[in-house]
Amino acid sequence: MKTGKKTQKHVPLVIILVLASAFYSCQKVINVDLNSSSPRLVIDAAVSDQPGPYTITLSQTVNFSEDNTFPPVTGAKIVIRDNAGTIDSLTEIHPGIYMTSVIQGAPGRTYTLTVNVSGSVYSAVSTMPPPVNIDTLTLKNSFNGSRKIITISFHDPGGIDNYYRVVEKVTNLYPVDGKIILPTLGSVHTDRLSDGAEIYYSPGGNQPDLVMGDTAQVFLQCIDKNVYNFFRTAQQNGSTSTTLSNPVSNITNGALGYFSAYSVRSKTIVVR
Amino acid sequence: MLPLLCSSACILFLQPACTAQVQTKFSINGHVKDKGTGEALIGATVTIAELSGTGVVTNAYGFYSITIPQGNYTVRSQYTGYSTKTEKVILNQNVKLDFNLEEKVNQLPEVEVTNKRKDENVTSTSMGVQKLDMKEINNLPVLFGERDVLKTMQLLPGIQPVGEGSSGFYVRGGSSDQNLILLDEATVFNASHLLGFFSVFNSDAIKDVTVYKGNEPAEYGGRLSSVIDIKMNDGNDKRYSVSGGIGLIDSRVNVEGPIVKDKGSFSVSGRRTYADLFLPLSRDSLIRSSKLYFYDINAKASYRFGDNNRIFISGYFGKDVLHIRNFGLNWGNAAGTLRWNHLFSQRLFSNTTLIYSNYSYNVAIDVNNSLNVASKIQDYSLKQDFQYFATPDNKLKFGFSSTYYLVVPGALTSSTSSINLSNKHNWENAVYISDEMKIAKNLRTEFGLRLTAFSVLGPGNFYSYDAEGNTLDTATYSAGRFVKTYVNLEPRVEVTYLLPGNSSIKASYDRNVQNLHLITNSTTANPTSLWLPSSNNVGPEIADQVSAGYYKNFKDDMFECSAEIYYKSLQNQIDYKNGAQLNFNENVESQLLFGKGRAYGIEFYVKKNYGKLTGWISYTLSRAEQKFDGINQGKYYPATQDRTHDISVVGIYHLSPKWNFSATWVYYTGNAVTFPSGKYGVDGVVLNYYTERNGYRMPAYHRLDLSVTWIRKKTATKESSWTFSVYNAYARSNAYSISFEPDPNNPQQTQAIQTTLFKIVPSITYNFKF
Repeated sequence: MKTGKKTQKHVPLVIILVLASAFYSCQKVINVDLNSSSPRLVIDAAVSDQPGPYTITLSQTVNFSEDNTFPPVTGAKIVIRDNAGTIDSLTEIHPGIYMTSVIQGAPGRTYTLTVNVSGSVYSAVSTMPPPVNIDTLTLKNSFNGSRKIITISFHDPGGIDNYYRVVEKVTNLYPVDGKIILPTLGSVHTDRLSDGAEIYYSPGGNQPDLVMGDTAQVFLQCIDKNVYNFFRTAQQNGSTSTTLSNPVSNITNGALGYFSAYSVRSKTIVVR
Repeated sequence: MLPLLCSSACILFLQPACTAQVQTKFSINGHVKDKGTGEALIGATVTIAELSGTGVVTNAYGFYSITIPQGNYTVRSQYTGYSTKTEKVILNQNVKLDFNLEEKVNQLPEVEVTNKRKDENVTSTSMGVQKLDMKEINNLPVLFGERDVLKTMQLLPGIQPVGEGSSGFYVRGGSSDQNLILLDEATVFNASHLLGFFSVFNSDAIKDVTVYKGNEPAEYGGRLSSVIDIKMNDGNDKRYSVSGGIGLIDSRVNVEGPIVKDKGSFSVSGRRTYADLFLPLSRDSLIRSSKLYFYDINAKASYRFGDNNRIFISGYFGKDVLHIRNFGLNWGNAAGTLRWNHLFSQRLFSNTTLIYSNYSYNVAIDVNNSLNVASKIQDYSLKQDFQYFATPDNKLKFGFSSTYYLVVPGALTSSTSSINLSNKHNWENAVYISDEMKIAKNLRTEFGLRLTAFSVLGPGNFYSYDAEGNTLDTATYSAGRFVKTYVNLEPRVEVTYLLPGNSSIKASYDRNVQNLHLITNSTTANPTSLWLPSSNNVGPEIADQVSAGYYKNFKDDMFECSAEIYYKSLQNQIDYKNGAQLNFNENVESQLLFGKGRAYGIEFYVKKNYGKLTGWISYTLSRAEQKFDGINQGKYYPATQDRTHDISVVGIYHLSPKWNFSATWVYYTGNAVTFPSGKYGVDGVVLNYYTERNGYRMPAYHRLDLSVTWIRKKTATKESSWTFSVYNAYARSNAYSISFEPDPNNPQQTQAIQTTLFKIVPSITYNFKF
């Protein structure tokens, strides 16, 4: 027992050393030999309650080792209809980028997208929910202390299912570490557990942390259920979930991507 | 099925008729115990010297009964690591004969030529069974020096670790929720501490661990792949003793002693991690305010009333607390059993058990408004087991159990609202019968039959879904109403044929049924994974396993080796739809897919039982596949737990009574995983493009652990030792996970990032006993 007591004095130091070395999980970039895949159509399409025109992008998947330059899909015939009888045939303004001319997004209307790429037809339907105003934007310290994260608050309309997508656009005046802030898909939220309540929501991990001097514009999109499911599953896209799969698309015929009819409100905050 | 039932019935009823014709028989029965502590010895042999080949093995309570013709006999009892004891018996009436065996102390496990039944592995009818020697466990190197029965078990053939940072394991290609873990007969629903770095079993409190790899006897049921039967120490009924250990991250203490000498005993073990006690010293305010610890307590008491009655009460309570800033997660198991051993006659042993088990977790998030989610699974059980020792060559077991399950999938309370997912109520009843007998000199069999009825009870709403997962219909049932009952018959047969030269061949067929399914959203089971009982939408999982093996011992049982092959066919396996929403979802059953599975493999095992160097080598070559409509075009694909190769090498070198060295080396094929085969852009963000599930492999895993034990002192009552160990001695960077992320230095590229948990972890532990 004597020996036991003597060493116990040193135990705290040893523990700290061991924990520091042991719980330090290390990460490194490795080479993984991934299969190649045949290209698949990707549709990135949205209509909002803001004045048009709206653009739609058609592209293709690439192999993992290639650059993030996605080949445009040109010469497609794209039509968007609403349930008020408007029909809009889009014009290709750049390779793979198509623009509307007459259609105007309005909450409550249902929009149908039809894309015809050399005889293959892909379609999607989305209904635009009514907009919800942002009440406040507040800043909080982030988990690691030195940076800031935004909390958005808004009042959820009671009695109906609401789905939200929150996107931040940050103007970074003083870039930290010279690091490029990569765009994110934002984060999505449902009122499943807070119907009719004032919702305080911190997009957190899915958004860049802010530093002094940043200006952030926060967009609160009201989206429909299928679009919510697309973005919810897109968030798990690179994680270690058991159901690693492509985000659940609302487009038929096996196309990747989504078609969203959404209403949006925004607010701006400067980090001081 | 019918022939099976008949054969069992015949044995039960014809036996007395047969014996009546021959000479008068009497029974010898009693308990085999450790002389020093009074602890019952499980699996000790009792043999009759005059009747070669006649012997029995003590049951889980150290009880034996042997019925032989009138006469004068020499009765011998032996148990590994203990001195053999013989008694002369004049058998002209029933005799009560207890053996108190003396543990060999301060002695090397040298070659000793005795008539020991070390050939149990060859001669018994059981196959696919592994027993862990608790003394062996103490010598093996482990992470942070924390001895762990579940981790050591994973060094045996056919039992494979889920991976680092997880207590989970796969048995013969089954998923990790297909293992039934019993602690003194109570189900342990989540066996992990500290998110899986440790198991909930404090090895100080544990007496015996038996693993059945799907070939469990009929008294067990409820999981497809395995039963891990863990028994706690009864406690010393001779004298008080304190033992314990001081380790780097936790300390343990065990106190045991007599309640009334030779009649009753108690044992209490506790441990707690203390790494968190130093967190307040940190400069970082986040670490300072964090909490991360676990503790557990094992307690057991037993008391003997006369010769024929004994009561046991045992309990386990453990809790983990994790708190980082405004996120908190607590989880833990609580289990208790009350058992009554009763001897109805010289040959009929009975055990009645009342069981309670509870697993619960609680998540608290306090960001803007506080949110609390609580969930639990509970069971209350009554179990009656009988063992009838008909003749030395025929042992009959039968009984029943009745269990009520309550699952609270989630109760959410926040400052603004409170929402409860529907609670689930289930009632499971089972009856079983099994008969172990020697048909001919070289032929032994065990037939078993288990009948289970699993009922889904009200109150609650029961939904039906279309293929897309939309709710078609909702039926409301009131309390106690039966919604659905699944009845299943589970036959189990094992045959052993003894060959000359200390060898045997065995074959078995087993069916197992599982009505509780673990639903988990991540690759490793986490504390918040949900147990989902069978329901109107989810049917019982069923596994049929056939296996065969060859067993041979060499050099007076110094070496034992075996080869077992198995093929398993699985029905009603559960997987998830792409993009499934499993968290806090009332309609979680709509997110599931049901399919088939198959697993097959061959396991080789060579063990050296005694000598200066002991240890074993195990190698498993196997495959585990599954098939679901809607995944990979409905074709068979590798399950996550598919491991082509799995090797474990364990060596313990007893240099002297003071010094022990040990080493373990493991190698296994990486898990089947889903990696992207391409990428695409949406909204300026790069997403991974997946073409198939589980189409890739993690890198192979291998690791060497070393340990040295210095025994300062060891006498019959006092012990002290130091253990130094190194985990992952050659600092292999094993992949815990691989993720695919944008390259921060080049937005045009995406890179693969491998996370490694432990490079090299040294540790030191001081163990004592007085």
